[in-house]
Amino acid sequence: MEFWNLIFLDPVLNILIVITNILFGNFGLAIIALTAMVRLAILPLTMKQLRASKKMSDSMRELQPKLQQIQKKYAKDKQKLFKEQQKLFKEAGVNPMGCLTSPMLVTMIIQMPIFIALYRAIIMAVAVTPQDFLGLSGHIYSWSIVHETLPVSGNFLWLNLGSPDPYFLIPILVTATMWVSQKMMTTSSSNNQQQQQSMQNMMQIMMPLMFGFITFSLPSGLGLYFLVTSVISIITQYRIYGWSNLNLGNLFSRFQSKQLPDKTSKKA
Amino acid sequence: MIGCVNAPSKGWSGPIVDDDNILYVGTIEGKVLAYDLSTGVPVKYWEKEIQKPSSGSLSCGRGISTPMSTYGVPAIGEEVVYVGGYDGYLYSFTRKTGAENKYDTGSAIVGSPTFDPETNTVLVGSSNGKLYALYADLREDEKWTFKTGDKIWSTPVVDNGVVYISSADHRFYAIDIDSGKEIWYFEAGAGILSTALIKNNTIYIGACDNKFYAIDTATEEQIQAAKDGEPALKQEAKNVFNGAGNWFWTQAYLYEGIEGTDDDQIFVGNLDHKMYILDANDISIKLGEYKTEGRVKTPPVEVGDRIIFGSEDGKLYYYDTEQAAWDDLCDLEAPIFAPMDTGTVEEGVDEEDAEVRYIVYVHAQNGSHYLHAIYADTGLDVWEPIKTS
Repeated sequence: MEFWNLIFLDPVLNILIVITNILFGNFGLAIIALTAMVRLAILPLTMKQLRASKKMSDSMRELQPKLQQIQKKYAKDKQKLFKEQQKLFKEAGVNPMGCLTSPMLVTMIIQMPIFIALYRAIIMAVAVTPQDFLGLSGHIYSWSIVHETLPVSGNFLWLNLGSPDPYFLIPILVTATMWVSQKMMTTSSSNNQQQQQSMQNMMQIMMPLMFGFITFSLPSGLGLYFLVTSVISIITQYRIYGWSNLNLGNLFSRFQSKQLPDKTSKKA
Repeated sequence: MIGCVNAPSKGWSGPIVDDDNILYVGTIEGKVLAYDLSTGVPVKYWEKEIQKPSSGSLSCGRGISTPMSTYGVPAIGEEVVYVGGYDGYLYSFTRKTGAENKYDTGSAIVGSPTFDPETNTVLVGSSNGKLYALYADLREDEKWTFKTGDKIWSTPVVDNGVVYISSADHRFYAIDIDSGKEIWYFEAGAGILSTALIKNNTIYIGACDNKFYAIDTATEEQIQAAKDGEPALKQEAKNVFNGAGNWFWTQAYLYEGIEGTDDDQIFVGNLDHKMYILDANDISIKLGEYKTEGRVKTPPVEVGDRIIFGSEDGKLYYYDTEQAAWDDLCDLEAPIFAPMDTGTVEEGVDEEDAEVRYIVYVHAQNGSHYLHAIYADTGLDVWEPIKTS
């Protein structure tokens, strides 16, 4: 725990407080700024991860016709079917277990402690109770800029960053942006990948709902962190995937067809 | 990770004993306890519960009653005892029966209330940044309120008709108790959560900028100027101690040296685990220090020839003023954050031969909380510790 505090938590916490001081004592802006800075710092890794993921899903899509042929041919021999599928993947240079291989695993491992530290730092810096504030004393550096900033003000827009959003706007925004982010990364698959598709659909719904529900009871400072993370994910994913997976065109045309009256029937 | 944001706070209420030998203390379960110590063995006098329905989010369950804890030490009034609750209410309980009255400040009360018998005023600070001056019967309208820039987690101190209070807005204020007008303010480099010590026209107070200050009290001219509507002045410190490693978050204690000499000493604890001894005439001069294994947040108390204080490491320590030496008194094995109180007990077969022994009352906190009475000379328990939560 001491190692964790020394290497991750204390530096992130103190930098968060320093940024608060620089941004006119505004803790909400400091959360946004530090989250953005951390995401920016690991952007090269993130982009590499997204490109690798996209490449894999594009390759899988190209292999679909051949996969369907193999499935038809060896429908009754599961062992042979598996062998032929693996042979096809190997020839095409595709690894369906890509999420567990580097560089994706490396980027996840690097990101996790930083994000956990940022999450903990936000909770600690808000320091609602005297116990929380007393606990803070053991983690701050002896920089005068840190001392003069504490206690941080929890007020940001309509929010008290140490308490849940009373109007539930943050949880709703977190749910919506997470859904968009998840949707942008999903790929359509053929009938033979129905299981994978239904798993994807479930993740698309469950993950945003879960985070939205969690954000209901967490300090809104943390909700703000989730929201900024989602928005930045959307922006970085747009560079790789565009909006195509969202099927915005279909959404708009469906919306239009509901709104416009049917003029042809009137004329008749 | 999820948890309830509005879960009950913990509290570090200290005990206080009145002239009738009744001990009062708050608990983390939102109770106020009164014990009769007159027989030498504590007998429960009354017990009151402070409760407020939780206003937590959906995942915490709305409408479920949650006990609210107490942080400060109860204050003794004329016929009542005052207790600040984390729910924002200042409670008064009649000392004999525990009959309850209350006033709503709207925000958590962490410091202790103060009763000034000269003006019959109850003073209390709140986390909304306001200092309230209330009538002793806690009627709805206040005498006055004074707004600071951030939360008040300290205890008001009254001296010569002036109320002194610190705030997390980095300032320490002097306020006229009659009118509520600001006389002057002192500005530190960080929030001030400590309660001031006032002795010999000097205010001693530490701040979260790791510094300890000595400031002159308000003069008669300054007080009159405030009453006349003059704007508040900015006060400067006359001395500063700059050698601590962390925040000051406790009240200091002044030990008066040999009578007729000028060797008064200030004892003050710090969150860097140390108790410091400073020259009361010039606090920039450090006379000594003692390092414990935990943060020091309790004000020291003087009993006989010992200055006793507690630490987060669970131990009571003492400084022998005759030997000028430090030592451990006892190990309660539970963090000591709350202020302590002292008392005496007479022991012996005959009244004539009775020996007076000093006692320290300590409320130690570690999971379950226990109220101890410790002999100041031996460190042994006077009676079986009482479990308060």
